[in-house]
Amino acid sequence: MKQFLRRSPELWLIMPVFMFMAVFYAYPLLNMLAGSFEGDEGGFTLAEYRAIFDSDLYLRVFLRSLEISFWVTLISLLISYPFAYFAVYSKYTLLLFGVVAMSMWLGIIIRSYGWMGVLGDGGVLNYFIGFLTEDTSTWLYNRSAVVIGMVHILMPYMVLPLFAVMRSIPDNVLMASKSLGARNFYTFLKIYVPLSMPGILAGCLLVFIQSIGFYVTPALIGGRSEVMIAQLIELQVRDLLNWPFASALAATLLVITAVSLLICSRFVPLKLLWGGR
Amino acid sequence: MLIENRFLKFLFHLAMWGVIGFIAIPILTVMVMSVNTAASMRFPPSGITLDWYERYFSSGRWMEATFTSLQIGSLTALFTTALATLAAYALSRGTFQGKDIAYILLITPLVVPTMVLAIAFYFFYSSLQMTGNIFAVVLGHTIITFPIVLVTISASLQGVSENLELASRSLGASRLMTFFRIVLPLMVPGMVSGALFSFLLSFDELLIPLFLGGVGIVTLPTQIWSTLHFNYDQTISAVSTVIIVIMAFLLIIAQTVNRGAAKKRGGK
Repeated sequence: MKQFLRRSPELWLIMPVFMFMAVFYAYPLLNMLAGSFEGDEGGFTLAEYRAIFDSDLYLRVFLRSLEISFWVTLISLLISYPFAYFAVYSKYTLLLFGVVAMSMWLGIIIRSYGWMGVLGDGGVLNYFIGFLTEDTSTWLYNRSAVVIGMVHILMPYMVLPLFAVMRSIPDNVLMASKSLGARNFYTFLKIYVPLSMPGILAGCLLVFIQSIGFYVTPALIGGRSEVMIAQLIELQVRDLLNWPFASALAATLLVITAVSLLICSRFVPLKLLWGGR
Repeated sequence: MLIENRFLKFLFHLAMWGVIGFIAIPILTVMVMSVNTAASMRFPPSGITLDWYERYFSSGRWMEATFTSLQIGSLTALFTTALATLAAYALSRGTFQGKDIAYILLITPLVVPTMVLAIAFYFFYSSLQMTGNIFAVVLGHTIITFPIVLVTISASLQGVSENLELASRSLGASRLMTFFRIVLPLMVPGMVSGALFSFLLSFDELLIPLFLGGVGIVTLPTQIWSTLHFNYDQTISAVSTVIIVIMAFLLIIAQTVNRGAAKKRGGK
């Protein structure tokens, strides 16, 4: 060990970081996971997990979270792909990019709250609909509201990797395709989309794994019938005080996240996800 | 551009500026509502007033929450930046085995859902009877914001040529001196933007203070959260507008610092 340290003194620098992470991050997390397997009188049990998978109610919450995440990811992609394309080749690249990057940092609660003012009873949307028809209604507290709010918050995580990949696609490739007689649409489909695929995958992964455990937006504008996993966990900890069950729910959520990450990492270099510009 | 038909191109551009509108609309709505005389979110505003701002600035509770958030955000930024600087330097210049795995391990907090971390920390600090302690919240935020700061500082370190360090060493400076006189000054821009990101993330984070804050620690997000659920009025819009303006300002600073540094290094 000593010899090892002498050869690479940088280890002295990173050791305290790892110790810090072990005490304040890894230990609490592993401790919680262990707690989910602990019976009332100690010992090992799977009872908490059985309770999740035996109950229609809990399974439905998991399924709903997956469904909502799927829609959020898909819609984010459908909006972000043309947008990133537009931004890369626009005269206003810096402005467009700046707006998206900035919106990423402007606060999740504030933006979800903003949607209450847009979609609510006396909101902006109803005001404009009021010109067309008398019959206005509230747009909040249903699934579309949750999906819209979450797309708004998570879209930057789709745009940024797409933007990074598209910027690196050389114009020559597209010109070559054109000069060989391919139609624009064909060039786009056969050349452009495959070249931007790493960005698509990275963006989808980032959006999906974040939306699956999302709390603020569904709790604020989702209403009672659109409860997602994170809300269920919060309810178990704060109101029902059922810590082992909450731990089992959290562990299941963690496994879902990890599996999506592992599947995706086979297709896309994880470096692209964070800091891969 | 692969779209040549002028009409289609026009439609495409229109739709894309529509996306900008989509991004902007909830933020603009909050700003408009903050000067609305009505206490609920009614559009169009029934009149213009600065009452909500006055309420915010004269309310002891809101001011205290603001101060707590600033305190937690600054401490988090300080801790995180210190730790991430050590890690980023060791990971980019070290020659030890398992560097890639170390990097991946250190950025895992990014993919663990915040709710999972919040309850894990809640169980941990409850067993230590440390909930309601400001440091519990700061430590929680340090873990959550660590990955993004590590990524930011690592990226800026990649732009610093290793030759500078070799030159310094060959001219007789010790490792330590090289680090403090050559490397650290070159890392400062990355550290500043990393610290700002950490501050911004901490400033907006709800779940950690909600769980670890007990009854004593009220931050801006938890105060907004409880006001939304119990005694709702447009003070929230005023507070939000103030936060948005401050955040936008900090982001522009972070951007300028980064760009200035890139220029100094010869543009990259």
